[in-house]
Amino acid sequence: MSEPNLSPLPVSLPPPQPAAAAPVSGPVRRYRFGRPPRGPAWSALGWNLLAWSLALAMLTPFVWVLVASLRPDGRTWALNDTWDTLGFDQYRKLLGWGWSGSMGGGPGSIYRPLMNSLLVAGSLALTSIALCAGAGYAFACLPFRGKRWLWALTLATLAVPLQVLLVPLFRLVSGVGLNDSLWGVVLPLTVSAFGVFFIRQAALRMPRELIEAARLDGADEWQIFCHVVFPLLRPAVAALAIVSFLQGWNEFLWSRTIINRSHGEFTVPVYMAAQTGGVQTDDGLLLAAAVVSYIPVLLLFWAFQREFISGLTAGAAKE
Amino acid sequence: MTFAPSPLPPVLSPGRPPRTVPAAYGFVLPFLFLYALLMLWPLFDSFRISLSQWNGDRFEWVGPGALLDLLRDGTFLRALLNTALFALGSLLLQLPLALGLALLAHHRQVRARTWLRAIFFLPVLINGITLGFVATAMFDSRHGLLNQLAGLQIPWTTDRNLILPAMVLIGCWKWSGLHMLFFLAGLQSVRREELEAAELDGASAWQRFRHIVLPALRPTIVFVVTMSLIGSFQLFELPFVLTSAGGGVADGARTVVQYLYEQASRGNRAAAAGAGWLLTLTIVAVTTLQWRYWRSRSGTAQDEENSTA
Repeated sequence: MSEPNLSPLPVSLPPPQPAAAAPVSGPVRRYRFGRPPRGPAWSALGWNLLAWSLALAMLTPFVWVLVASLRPDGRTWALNDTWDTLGFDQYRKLLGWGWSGSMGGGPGSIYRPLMNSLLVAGSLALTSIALCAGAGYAFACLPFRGKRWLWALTLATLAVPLQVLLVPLFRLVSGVGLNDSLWGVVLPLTVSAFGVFFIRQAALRMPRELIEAARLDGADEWQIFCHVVFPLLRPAVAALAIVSFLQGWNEFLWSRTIINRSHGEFTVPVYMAAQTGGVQTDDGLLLAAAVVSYIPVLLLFWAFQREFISGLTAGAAKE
Repeated sequence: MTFAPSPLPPVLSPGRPPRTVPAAYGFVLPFLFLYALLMLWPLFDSFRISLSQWNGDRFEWVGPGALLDLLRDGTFLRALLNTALFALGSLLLQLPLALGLALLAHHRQVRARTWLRAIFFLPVLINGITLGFVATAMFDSRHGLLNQLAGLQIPWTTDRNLILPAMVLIGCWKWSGLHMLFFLAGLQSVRREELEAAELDGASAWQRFRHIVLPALRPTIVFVVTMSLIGSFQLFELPFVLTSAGGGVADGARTVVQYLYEQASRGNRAAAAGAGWLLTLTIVAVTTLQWRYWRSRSGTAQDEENSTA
């Protein structure tokens, strides 16, 4: 039988290799299957149990809100009701079908806010790309006078939160007449220095040879940008678009501030917040709205997981 | 792909230091113009407003006295305290949790790690208002899931001393996934050979963690602490929804941004702007102090390494 494992290591080593043939210097690790063994089965079970219990705990609020949103009026918070009472009543109310108007005037369908949010988020994504791609490339690769202090100026506001600008932005944007309009919501959100910073990071990592080759071929800067740089930057640009979309979809404070008279311009978060604070809140409706506001983001994440992650973790990994 | 040939601009011929590519301004100006208009000017204006007083017709310069008024406002001070407590509590809870989640999602014995990562990350995508609803669904004194499961009626959302812990817990749920991703990115920089060598030398898992993994994660930890603090200081929607914009319990939950919003909607624009500026200054101060601290720590570590070499 094999000798007892006397090593203090948590991993069981393979039996020592015969020293004879191979002329190597220093200790050599040779593993069956080419990788270290996974360890005893009980440790694997333990880690998986821990990891997946945590995952289950993380999912619990989602499940609870989803189930509660499927319950009929008045039974929203029932924990032990049977499955057959689940239905889409709240969602029907939300989308404006079969609205009974029991809340005296009703909140209106979520359809228009959904479209508004889509417009805001989509415009934000597109304008972010339009503004930041070129600027990020220029700051990274093109020499121009004043570049250094312009870049310092751009970086300076990286840590400044939007809330500081709330009052003057409101005066400025409504002074131009853009209050209660979706463009009034989008424009201030597009000038985040983060977008330029992010694209610049990616542009610094681009291989320069292609650009040099295009220059030697006689292309002008705009052609270089369109045909060489932008395709190279596509992953970063996609990540920026996704993150901007998410930001536009979830944005509340500024939208609530700039849209104060016209309910038709509400985005989804503003619509949802407008349902609270009343004498009587329709809990089921609120939860259904929460679910509806989350599902598009979930689908987007499913489709673009890599872009989400790379966009949101920018700056975290040491180069 | 070949382009129409044209003489190379003299500024970019090889061997010559480049001076200015005029086209660069074309790339940069759209952004810079809007940036100056919508970010820099309002920033300056906010500073001006915070030191002024509205006399019914226009803003009148008052000077630093206006800020002192702000610092004497009990509501503002309480909001500042709430925000600071929330930031601290969130940091202390989320940092170890996110690190633990990252280690779990990195551990080679755990199955389906990609799914695990995605599940931990899902709460990050929720918007603030939905988060408030989720918090109500979990913590409400009668209907909340936690109270229903425990058979108790802990007044999380109606007791001014309990609402901050509830907010910290929900914040933990939401943000740990993001910080986990930061740590996962940082874990890539831990060198496999060092870990294996330590394993061969007989180091226990805890020793390997403390002496190899943690030092390699130092820049990531600094980054996570910075992002966490900056994010916590900007907290608004969660307390806004939980307290339904007001009420006694709001004193225990009101954050600085919420105070800013309330003042702005009441027309006290100077107070709102001033609060915003104090917030920015706090963020900058905390971030700078934090970086100094970590830099001094790594300085001593370098000295240690040099002296034992």
